[in-house]
Amino acid sequence: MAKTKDALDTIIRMLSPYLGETMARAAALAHCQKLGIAVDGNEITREQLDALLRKLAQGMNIFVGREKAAAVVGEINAAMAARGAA
Amino acid sequence: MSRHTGIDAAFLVVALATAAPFVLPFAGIATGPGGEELRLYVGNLSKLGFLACAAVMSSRAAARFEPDNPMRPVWRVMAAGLFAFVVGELVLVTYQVLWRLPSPFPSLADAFFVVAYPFLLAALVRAISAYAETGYPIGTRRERVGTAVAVGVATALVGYPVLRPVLDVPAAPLAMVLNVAYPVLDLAVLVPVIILLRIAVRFRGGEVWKVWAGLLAGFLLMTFADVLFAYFTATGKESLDQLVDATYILSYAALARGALGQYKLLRD
Repeated sequence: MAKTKDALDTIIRMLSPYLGETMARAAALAHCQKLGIAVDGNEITREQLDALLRKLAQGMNIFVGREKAAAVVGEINAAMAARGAA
Repeated sequence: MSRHTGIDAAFLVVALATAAPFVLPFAGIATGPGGEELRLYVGNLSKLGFLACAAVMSSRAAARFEPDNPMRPVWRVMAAGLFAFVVGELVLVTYQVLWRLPSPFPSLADAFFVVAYPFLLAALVRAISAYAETGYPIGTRRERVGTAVAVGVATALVGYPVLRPVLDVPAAPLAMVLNVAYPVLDLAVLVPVIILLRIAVRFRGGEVWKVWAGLLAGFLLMTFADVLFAYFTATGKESLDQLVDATYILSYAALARGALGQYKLLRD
């Protein structure tokens, strides 16, 4: 399990080059709300994180194509794993 | 400097350099006896080049999207409209550069320019739906309808006094129809453009914003140029036509930058 704040920070940082920081943050928070993820909560489960990334990737597909959206999600997961290992 | 920033800078430099011969005389900078010749070649070829770039990149971007991606038809229909513009521009280049004749008005070029508008309008309206399908917070449907109504009313209020002189000038029926049709079609395109601009601005700072900022700036400038052209022609201020040419060049350059941005976003 990862810290919710750390996970969101990583997601927003990785999506910002494509969506801009304002939309990356707004989209992440909006999907957290829809998925019932407490943004001020302490930890986010793997299932919650996967669901959140799936939703964000569905939106990204429309702008950058499925392949690139999947690559960005892969980068987010790698960054999260590196952060967890650190 | 990143590669994307480099492309932005290159587009800006080329667009300004090609528009400069049309603007410099208004700033009191003489372009010499070769100025007219320079404007003939630079104006025609830069417009054709930027439009061709926009059309080809739109088509290639469409091909890169998955078949079920809602942006694929957007870019495909956009490409169809832009290719019609390219053919229209090619007709004008043939008259002016190849045959060294003033292009008649109306001409075959106008048929292609007019045909392009339904495609461009359809692409922009479809893009609004595609944005809505992202599930991102892009505003409510109610907001978009409100924007459409407000822009529609504003364009009618601004468009009527500007286009009034066009109706008062005696002209052949087809020329009259086209003089009114271009600005009216532009103002129709303006409605989805403003809605998309309000959505796209939420993406500022990202590559998605750059793509749509380029495209939408291109359409805004095209509207401005068409309205100016109709107004200057109707009021006998044809000497100001060079400003119109410069605006078209910047418009087509912005369209090309937007389409190239989308293609690179998919490819890189």
